[in-house]
Amino acid sequence: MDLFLNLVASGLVIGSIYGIIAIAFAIIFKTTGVLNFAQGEVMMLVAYTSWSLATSLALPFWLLVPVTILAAALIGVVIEFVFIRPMSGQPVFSIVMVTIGLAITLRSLIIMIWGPDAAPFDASVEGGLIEIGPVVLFSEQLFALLLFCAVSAAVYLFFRFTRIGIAMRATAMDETSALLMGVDVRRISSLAWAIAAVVSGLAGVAFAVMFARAPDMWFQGLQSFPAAILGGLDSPLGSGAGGLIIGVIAALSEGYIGHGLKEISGFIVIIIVLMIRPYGLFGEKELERV
Amino acid sequence: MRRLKTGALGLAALLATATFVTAQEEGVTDDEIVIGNVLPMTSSAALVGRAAHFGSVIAAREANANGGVNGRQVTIRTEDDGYVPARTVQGLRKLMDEGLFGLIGTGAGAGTAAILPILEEEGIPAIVSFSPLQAAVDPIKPSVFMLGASYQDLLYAQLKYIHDNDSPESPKYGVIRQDDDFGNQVEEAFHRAVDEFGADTAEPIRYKRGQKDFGAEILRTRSDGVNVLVAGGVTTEIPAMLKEASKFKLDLRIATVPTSTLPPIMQLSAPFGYDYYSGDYISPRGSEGSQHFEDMAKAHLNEEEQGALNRYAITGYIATSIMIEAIRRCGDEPTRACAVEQMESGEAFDTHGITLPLDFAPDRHISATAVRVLQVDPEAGSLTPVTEFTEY
Repeated sequence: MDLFLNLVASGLVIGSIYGIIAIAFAIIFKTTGVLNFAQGEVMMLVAYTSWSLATSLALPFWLLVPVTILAAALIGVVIEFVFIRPMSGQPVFSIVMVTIGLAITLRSLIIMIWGPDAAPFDASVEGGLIEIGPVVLFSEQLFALLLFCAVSAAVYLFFRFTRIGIAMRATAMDETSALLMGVDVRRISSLAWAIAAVVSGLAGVAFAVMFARAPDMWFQGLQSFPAAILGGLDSPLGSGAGGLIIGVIAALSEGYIGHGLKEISGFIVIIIVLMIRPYGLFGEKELERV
Repeated sequence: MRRLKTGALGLAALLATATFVTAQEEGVTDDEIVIGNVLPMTSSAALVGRAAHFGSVIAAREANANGGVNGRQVTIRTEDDGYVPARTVQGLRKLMDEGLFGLIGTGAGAGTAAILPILEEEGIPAIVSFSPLQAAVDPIKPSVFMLGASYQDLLYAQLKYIHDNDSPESPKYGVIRQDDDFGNQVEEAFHRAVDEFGADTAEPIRYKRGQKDFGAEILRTRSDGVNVLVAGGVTTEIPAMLKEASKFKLDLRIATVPTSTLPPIMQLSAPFGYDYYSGDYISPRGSEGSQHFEDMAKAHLNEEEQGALNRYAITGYIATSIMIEAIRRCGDEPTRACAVEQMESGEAFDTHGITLPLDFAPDRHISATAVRVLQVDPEAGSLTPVTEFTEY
């Protein structure tokens, strides 16, 4: 039981990171129809920026988080303005290709600015080891879990109850109608990129605090993409849940079976789920009137 | 008649020039010799790739400051393979298109394996030193040489030391290793050791390259009762494993690959309270043996470049120095065949105390294989040799 609970906890921790990044994927996809293949790199850029803020300004963690949110939002807006807005009206495939180019550019840019070395993220979350019954977690791992809950709640409340959130949902459902209703679609796209950068950036900070800030952090973006597919690309909360499911299944597979099943177990689940629900666990079936 | 004579002379001159140009070896001009590297200058392995590149640069600048190689300046050209084997092949092809005499950086293990057929076919002299790969020299490839002990030997040496000198009560051996050629070598070392010791073992655990979370792997290790662990991470995976192990206060003897002695990795490992073992075939930085290298680094690199140095710079430096010396021994008209002949002549190459003088032979294209086991205290930032250089 001890092993099982610790495996579940371990899976939930890394699943939280996957889930938060998957939420960022879903926010952009739901709002603009674009798959942002640079989400992992945006996450990494925000984490590096946050690391610089933490080390150069010696900010305490409680202050670092809001400052990082502001920096991440700015990064998201700038990326949207420079790389995505000029592609407005172009085929989605072209925009997706731009995001792939952006991903490679950001990876190189980060190494040019910060160098290739990994470094510890010194703004640690105080608390050390936390024991919850037989489950043992580092405080930063618990922070990742709490961050997942906070981000999920914030995203839910934002899309459900705020005027801008509802406008974003309307734009996602029918851009032309939203435009005719007075919604500033350009602003919505910019906002989606900003929110996604903030959400994934916070995941990046949590990840860097847990492990290190390193130039291969972007890989977590790639790891998180299947979570978004599993949960449903048009469902931010579903994508988040997808991350948790993949994290837990992977941990249990490794803990009890091994043989490299950790990597493929999540994909086996995805294949089965997509065969039954092609739009993901929580995605909406697209209906077309003919 | 006179016009005909002039034309004939011109044609003769043109042919002579053409003959001269075609006779000159690839990567060699009247005033330059090009030595290449294909290394991970980006990606998670950039930490070691950049260092290896600067090691080559130091050797070339040292040679050039002493008048070059028989009047020619040595140029280092480095291509980035991003730690992707397919890009190692592309990088080599690009270097060959631009003119390449010999190769030092051959990418990581899988990259080296991918370019071996090209090196053989083209007869390019190469010294594998970045990521030792047994297949590079066994069986012997005519133009390919290797410096350094294989991962099998480096890890076997540590496990043997633990078995003989630091064995826990009721030892149980385990390994967590990457699911690629590097990981294969790690696991081979593990099996070689435990088979020889007749030791109790847990099933090897494989992880995907790029993975950073080792919670489940360490829980399985704990559940299996492992107390001697080969932490087969490449770079930041090692501290990630130590962190999870520290969570459960596991009492472990830990063997690692030489990257665990790199300062950033030691810095990341420091908080978790584990000393661990590593192994190496060169004198560590800061030791008496590496003094010449340190002096050359200060003389030929700026401060920022010096900041990128680590043990991989030393291996890059030795390999490039050997290649340069082999070319020098060929005299005014160096050819690839001559450089290979000089390298396998059996005449020793001086490494300025970093290792014992090194040599190769026609039936032995590997050198510097003696391993010294090091005890690493990441918190103190210290490396303490616990054995002499020994062949395993």
